[in-house]
Amino acid sequence: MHKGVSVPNRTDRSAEPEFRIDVDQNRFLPIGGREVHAVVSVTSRSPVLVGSSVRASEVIIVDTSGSMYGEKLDEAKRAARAAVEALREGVRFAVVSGGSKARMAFPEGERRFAECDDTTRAAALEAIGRMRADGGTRMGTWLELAGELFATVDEGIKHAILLTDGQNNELTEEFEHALRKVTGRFVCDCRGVGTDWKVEELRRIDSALLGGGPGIIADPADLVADFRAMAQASMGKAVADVVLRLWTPQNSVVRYVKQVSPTVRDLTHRSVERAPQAGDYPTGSWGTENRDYHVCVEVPTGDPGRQLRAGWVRVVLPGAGGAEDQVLASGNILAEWTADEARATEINPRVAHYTGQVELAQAIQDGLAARRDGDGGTATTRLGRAVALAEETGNQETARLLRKVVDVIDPVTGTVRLKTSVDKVDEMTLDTNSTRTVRTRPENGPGTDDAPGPG
Amino acid sequence: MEHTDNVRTAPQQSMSGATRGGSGTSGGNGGTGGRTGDGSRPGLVPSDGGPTAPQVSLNGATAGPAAGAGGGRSDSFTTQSMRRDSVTPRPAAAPPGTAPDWPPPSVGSSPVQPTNPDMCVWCPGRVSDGYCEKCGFLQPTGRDHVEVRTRAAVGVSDRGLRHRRNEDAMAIRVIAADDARAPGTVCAVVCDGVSSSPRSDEASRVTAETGATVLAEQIRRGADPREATGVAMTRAAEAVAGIAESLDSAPACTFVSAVVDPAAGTVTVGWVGDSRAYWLSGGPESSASTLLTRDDSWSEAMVQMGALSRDEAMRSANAHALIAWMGADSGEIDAHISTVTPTGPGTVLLCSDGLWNYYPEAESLTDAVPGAGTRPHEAARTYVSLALRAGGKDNITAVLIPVPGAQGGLRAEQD
Repeated sequence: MHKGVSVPNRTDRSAEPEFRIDVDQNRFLPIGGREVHAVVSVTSRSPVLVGSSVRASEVIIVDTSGSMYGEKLDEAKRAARAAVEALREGVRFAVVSGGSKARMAFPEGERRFAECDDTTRAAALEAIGRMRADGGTRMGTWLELAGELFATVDEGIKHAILLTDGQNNELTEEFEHALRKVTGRFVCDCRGVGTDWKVEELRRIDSALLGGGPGIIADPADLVADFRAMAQASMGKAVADVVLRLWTPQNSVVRYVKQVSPTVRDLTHRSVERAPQAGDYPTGSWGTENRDYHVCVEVPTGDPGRQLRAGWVRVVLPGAGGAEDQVLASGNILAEWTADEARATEINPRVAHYTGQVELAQAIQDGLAARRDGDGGTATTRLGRAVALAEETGNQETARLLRKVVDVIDPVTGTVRLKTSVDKVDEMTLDTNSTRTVRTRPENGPGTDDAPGPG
Repeated sequence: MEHTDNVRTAPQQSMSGATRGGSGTSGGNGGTGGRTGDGSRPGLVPSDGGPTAPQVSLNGATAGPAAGAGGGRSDSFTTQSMRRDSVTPRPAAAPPGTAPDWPPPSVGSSPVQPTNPDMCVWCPGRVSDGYCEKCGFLQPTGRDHVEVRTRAAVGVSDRGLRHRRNEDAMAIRVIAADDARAPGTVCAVVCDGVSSSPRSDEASRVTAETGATVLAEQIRRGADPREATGVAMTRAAEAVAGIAESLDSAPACTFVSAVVDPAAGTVTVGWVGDSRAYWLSGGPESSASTLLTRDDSWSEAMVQMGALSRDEAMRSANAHALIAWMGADSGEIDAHISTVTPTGPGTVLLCSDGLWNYYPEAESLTDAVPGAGTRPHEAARTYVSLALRAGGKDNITAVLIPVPGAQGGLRAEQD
């Protein structure tokens, strides 16, 4: 291609913390083509945290409704203790006991955070021991209390862990209202113990509060390890409220922005315009980790040979209180029109992979919903499609879970038969994990920008 | 692409000096050539009746068309020169190495200014990182895509899709509206570097700039457009000859110019080579669309001689071989000059073969971009865009000069 300004498709900016953006795409569009797809990989490498160098606050919410009585509550208490023990010195924390109302279990009866040290930790462990099971399940009120607590803190990582075993008893309206109130205020990871809770409800919370995907704990005995891991992961987060800023050209439309790894999450309608021609998509807090996003932009068509920046993706730390935004990394999603059909129709492997994974998640959820509704035909078709997609995209864990729900006759064509009796745990595990994707690595070596041009 | 033989009012000049100054096919000529049935529609004819006087014979020697040498490169869209073995070319007046001596244009003519690098070429956006902050397009570098916008004329030049660089050049000068002698007269030049010659990008730039500057200078001094065109072509040819290191290494290019005088309603074109000028009709009351030039190409010569049909000629490997160009090795050049007085509104289009290869007919060019004269900038871009979409095999340049035609009820002068 012509000599000139070469604008790399991958950019490294070193800052603290370190973020990096890689873009995988086929930038070539057919003449008249408008839809640009790209997988944007965001990698963060947080600086090693020492002591209280990062301000963090943690709320542990334990369902203490009547149904938790007995072994489940005992395990939940053990799990909450494990989480408290995993907290770093100096972290602000609180324990909420969730029933028909939300109560402060620690600091007991006071709506405030305690700062973690040996004394408060010991006191918290004791307070957890005193929690009792009674009342209903009103998750909205629990989250609102957490929101109130986090509102007392200016900055830093704000993370909650929510454990439940049952269905929410709130009116949908109240629940949604509460969710709207707390959206963007903190990040929440949800866990369901047993099989009496609803996957959809936890998925809803997870999606609003940017958790790492809801989890099912079939055996209460596994709670301790899981809670410890969540608390540790939270302590590993170094940056909060990171946004993905997507600039797009005039007269273009963002079709969607989806997180596709580690879990599927549609962020399309979560954007806020804080810079001209750009939408800020919330991503929550980051530790040392990697997330992939599938971005689709519809652009005005251009002449053959023209190169367009169809999207300019930046990892931004919005400046609070009038401070300047901090751009941590950036990358370009490009478009170039060509008459070369072969080139224009090639699909980037990572784009194809995640398109398949997103469809897989949807097929599972549709299939299971149809199955619950007694629509055997749809359930068979959709779960069959899921089997084929899992096979195709090499998602072995999902393929394994699917085999507990359907008998697979031919995995390639997705020919399946619904099993007559399915363990509830297996169905819920499949449902819960449906949004977990298998990651593909960004293409190494020459970037997508280096493809030789005509002439 | 079909190329029916309809060079309707081509201002008839022979390729060689043979018919120079001759055959005054006047009035009647305008009616020939199968103009679409409307008898009431005025034709477009050279205003002075005489075909292309004055001839500018730069070297005095006469060269016949096409001594068959040189020839067929596989890319039939590449402009190439045919060297004339029979004629020993001599450098033109300016000795090699002498820089062309043209003063910067004074007040009243707006020189070609590449667009501000901080601003987008395509839209009013600012540029950062090489991309426009508004429309997102990667900004072209150097001459890859150049746009010249003045109130009275617009030019767009593009590298196309197959060539490494843009060897086309264009230059536009507009005489000030309050100029005493030639208010609002537009002078424009398009040159296409001969790709088989060295530094043809430089050749086209020097030639176009010199041509347009001298044109404007002459016009402001009160010269007649035909006289000005003759002087400008001579000076342009000298300038490009001047950058040659030797006759074996002589940069070369084509030349086409237009002087549009709004007061007189005349359009004067001058050319050497196969870059073209068209009249694009602005409506049913205006003079019909027509090609104003006749290529100095092997194929055109074959057609004129009756040796080949136009289709046969265009299929030949030599179709685009030039038989005349500007450069130190060009030998004698016949500078063709023609003046027409169109009736009604329309647009004068100067273009390189990167455009007309895809739209050889004046009618098809006119139909391709309706209302070109009312939105010339958009139209010039559209022409370039159409050529790109058709394959963009060559550099593409289109300069558009709208002719309002309302003033003084312009008409074709029939005698």
